Amino acid sequence: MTTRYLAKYPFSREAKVFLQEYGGNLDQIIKENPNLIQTVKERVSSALIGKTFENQGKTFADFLSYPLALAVVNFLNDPLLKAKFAVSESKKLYMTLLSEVNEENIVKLARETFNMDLIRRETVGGKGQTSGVTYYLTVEDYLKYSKRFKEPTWRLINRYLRKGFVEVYRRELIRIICEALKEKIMDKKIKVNLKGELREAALDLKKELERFRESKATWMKGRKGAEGKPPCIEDLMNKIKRNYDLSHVERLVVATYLLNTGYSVEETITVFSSLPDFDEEKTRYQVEHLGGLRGSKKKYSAPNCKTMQTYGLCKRNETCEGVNHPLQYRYRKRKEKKSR
Amino acid sequence: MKERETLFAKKIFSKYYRQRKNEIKHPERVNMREFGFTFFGREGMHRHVAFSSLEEFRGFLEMNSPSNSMYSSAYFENPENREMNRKKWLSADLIFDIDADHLPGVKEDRTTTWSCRKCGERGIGEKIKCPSCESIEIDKVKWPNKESLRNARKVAEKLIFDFLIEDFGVEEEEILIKFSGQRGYHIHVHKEKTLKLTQEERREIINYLKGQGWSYEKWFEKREGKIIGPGIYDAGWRGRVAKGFIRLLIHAKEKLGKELNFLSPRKIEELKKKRKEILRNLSRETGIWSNREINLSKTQIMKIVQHIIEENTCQIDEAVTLDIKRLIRTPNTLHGKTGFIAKTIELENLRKFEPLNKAILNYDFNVKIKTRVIPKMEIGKESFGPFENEEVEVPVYLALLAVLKGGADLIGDHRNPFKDP
Repeated sequence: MTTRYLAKYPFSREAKVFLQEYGGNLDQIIKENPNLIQTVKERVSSALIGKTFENQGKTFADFLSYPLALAVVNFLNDPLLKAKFAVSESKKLYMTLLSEVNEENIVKLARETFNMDLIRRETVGGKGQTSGVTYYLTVEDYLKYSKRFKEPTWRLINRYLRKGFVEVYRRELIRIICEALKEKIMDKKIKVNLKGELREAALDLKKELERFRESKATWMKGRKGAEGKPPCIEDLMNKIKRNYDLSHVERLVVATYLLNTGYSVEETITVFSSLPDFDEEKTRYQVEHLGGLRGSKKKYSAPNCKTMQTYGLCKRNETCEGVNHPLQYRYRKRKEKKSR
Repeated sequence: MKERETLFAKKIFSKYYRQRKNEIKHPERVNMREFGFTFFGREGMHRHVAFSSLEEFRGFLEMNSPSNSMYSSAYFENPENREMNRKKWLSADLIFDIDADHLPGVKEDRTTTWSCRKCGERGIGEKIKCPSCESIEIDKVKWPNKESLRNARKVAEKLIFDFLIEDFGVEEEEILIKFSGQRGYHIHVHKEKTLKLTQEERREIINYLKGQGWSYEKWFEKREGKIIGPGIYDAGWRGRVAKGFIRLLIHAKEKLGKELNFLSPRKIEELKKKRKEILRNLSRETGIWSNREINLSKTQIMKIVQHIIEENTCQIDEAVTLDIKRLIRTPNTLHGKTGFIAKTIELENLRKFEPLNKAILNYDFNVKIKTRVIPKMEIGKESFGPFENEEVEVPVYLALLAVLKGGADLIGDHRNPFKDP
């Protein structure tokens, strides 16, 4: 196993095996790699502010910074930090995999590191068709990792599903692998104890995290229209509060709902700022678009209940009686209040 | 149900469990399941019961003859714990419930009875209010009927053959089929990999079965003035829709206009005339849905596809599939509202399975009953009724059904229905 491979895929099964065999004591490693602690800090800190950690992905320290950063994150055991770290590592992996020239590495990660049942088939191009590789993933693996992708293309009905296998293209497989890494980081519930320099670094990061949280916390208090949100929107808002990573469609729903209930573009953007992968520029572009400030200058409405259902976002309960559009909900409630 | 009737039902259930308990071979991994029971003459459900072995479970059935016996589709670490989160959910079978009540277009006017709580009037038919006193407080009883059960069975066949086996790759031995004991079928999938599916993942399977979320842009593209889309060899829903379109053109020759009533009569004529070309166009690797000869617009294609999808969906009860902690009837136990056996069915026998012949308790004696209102029924290869306030002697399964549904009382002494030693 080359250092380069380990640095590129520090979470891989090979890396795990390597670490186990390499063993060594932590102090020794840190002593041998003087910049390591700094790299670890950068790796975690850039995740927190939503920037992808840039490293050359070549050296032994580049590799080691991952397991140590993960240890720091697990030591601090904070859901927001963990989510941000997971998103950041998953994004980093996406860039790495897109430029991976050795296709075998992609397949190996899927099969060996993430235990996916993957079939690879080469297609020889006929007349007017390009040859290439198609992958088939078991439907269970597919559902496990694609369920959070809400774009129509990921719906099972828009897929070729035969005998339990779903056809996916290379780029899609890469996205699935990245999602798998994200889940792997998020799901890990181990208690880690740190000593010495690494512990100091972790505590520094904790302070950074607290500062970050304070700066984002203000908007949540006393927001307008706090009462009278339909259960579907309430659910999404709670997810945001708990720093869940929302899918594109979920964000779309929240943004259109807020923009249509008196939130300004700025206020809407602030709401999204606590998402683990918040990117102000991208968010602004999208929100402005939805708010009718860009493109067709058309202000978008929120999806209706039926559409929400097909997205699997509908949380209908008894308070929704007679409502078939989330935006209708408030008026109904207001009316009910008046009539009481 | 009055005391005498309760006792009668209990005796019959007891006999069944005494004689045939060895036919009860499910659930697999008994020790990880939660059980729930109801008993004759007792209110409510007795839950959080666990057994260490199938033998112990059978013994319980024999001892107690429950009126309903349910078990969890889920596997728990501590199934007997009364608190849900302490049970420790491990995984769950993937289950589908097909109930005649959820199927569209079934008329049950002749197999439903009603009785008015206000004036006591009764009759046959699906009524919303009492025809004599106009009260809306009426009780409805649905009686088993062949037609509805046949419809439900057809959905079960579609689900198993077209979707579970063909699309999802489930093997025959990973599927358990059973008659629900009343109005439908339960399909259990206990494939190792699917057991772990979360609710969210099961939701996507439901969406798939219900044909939700298809996207024109993903299915069709414009190329050189043609609209290219699904062909009959395509996997999944695409192939199903291409085949469905062809079937529609072949079988619904006269009714095509009715089926595709959103198209103009001229378009319908055109489709009929060019049937062969369409067949050829769709029998390729990628189907051609519109070209110079057969011109269909995006809107027209969308409507056709939507129509075919709706024709081919599986009408399952979503809530059952989605609920990974639900209790469901134990295979080959008796249903307390009908006295029918929730019989397991081999896949090869499904196509000709008639629950009203195969899932009834056929003890060889008759019972005298005084009926209220019972609709005409075909059961046990015989035809009975309709009965209205009559004294009749009927086979035990019908007497049991009538008593359990509250449609009749017993006449005479039935404390010991089985006179033989």
